Amino acid sequence: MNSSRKDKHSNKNIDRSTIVGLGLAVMGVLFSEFSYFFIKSIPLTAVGLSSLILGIVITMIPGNSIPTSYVRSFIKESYVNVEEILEQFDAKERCIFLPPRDRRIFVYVPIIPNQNCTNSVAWKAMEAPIHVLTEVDGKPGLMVFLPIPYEILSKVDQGSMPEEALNHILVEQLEILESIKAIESTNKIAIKMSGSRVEVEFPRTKKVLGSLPTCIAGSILSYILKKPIILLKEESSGRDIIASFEMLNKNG
Amino acid sequence: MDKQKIYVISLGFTYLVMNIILVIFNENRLNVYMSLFIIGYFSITILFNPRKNYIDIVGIGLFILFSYIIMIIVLDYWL
Repeated sequence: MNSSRKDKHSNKNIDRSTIVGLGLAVMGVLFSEFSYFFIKSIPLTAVGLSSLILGIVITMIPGNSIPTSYVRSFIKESYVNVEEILEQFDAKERCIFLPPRDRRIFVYVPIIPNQNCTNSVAWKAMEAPIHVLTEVDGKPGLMVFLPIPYEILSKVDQGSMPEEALNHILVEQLEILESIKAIESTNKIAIKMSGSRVEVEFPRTKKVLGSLPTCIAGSILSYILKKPIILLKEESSGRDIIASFEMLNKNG
Repeated sequence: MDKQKIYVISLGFTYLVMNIILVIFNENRLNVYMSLFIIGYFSITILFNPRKNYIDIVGIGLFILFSYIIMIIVLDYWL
């Protein structure tokens, strides 16, 4: 029974667009050869060659891809849970973005108001038990799981340059932004995100995690830098966002 | 409509238009057809920037072909 399920799954990988592309490519090769060697017609040969190019292009393009607008909607609506959790615990402090653990992406949110999160607290949070309500340095806090798939972060290498990683995920893969620029200084990174295409209208989430692009950017930075990252400031102007983050070093 | 589908349709339409125009002008040189197809492919691909499953084999192949066509034309001119 398990092997028949596997066969069904593997057949789905050869989807319709691949079959159409291959068919078009094969037809193009045969038609162009026939036109060139037998009919001796250059225009018909060109038609065959253009069919070949189109066929290969169709094969290369992912079939049945979910429209990006749907993906953006999924991400946007999945923040409802985050908003509810933050409301429930009356969390108001800025979160600390932590490197993923066990392929799970989460942030640490202190619950106690005006709690000064030092670097050592942030690094201890990296080792704290992964529960929604956890404890770091004897103080309660929240581990909020972000609705960001680990597969998206893993598209960039740990240790890659921040601007390159942010551009690859936010601009090229998710298409949430039109462009992004990052400037690094000693322990800080300032990011300018232009042309944001999605926004989450949850006030608590925005206050604690930042806007949606900022939140994803924070997760990416903590993943590639393998350090806790805290959002210092965020300013929005229309569809442009400027956010500054601080890297919390272990001995800081 | 999906961006990928618009890309494929645009590419197909571009090739169709190019073929028709060249036939109207009685063009019989295959390298002219191929050069225009290559330029059309890169223009449309840059415009739409579609996602691909693999490395751009078509782009690499067409680039090599274009370089070969240019090399032949230059050699013909010199010799």
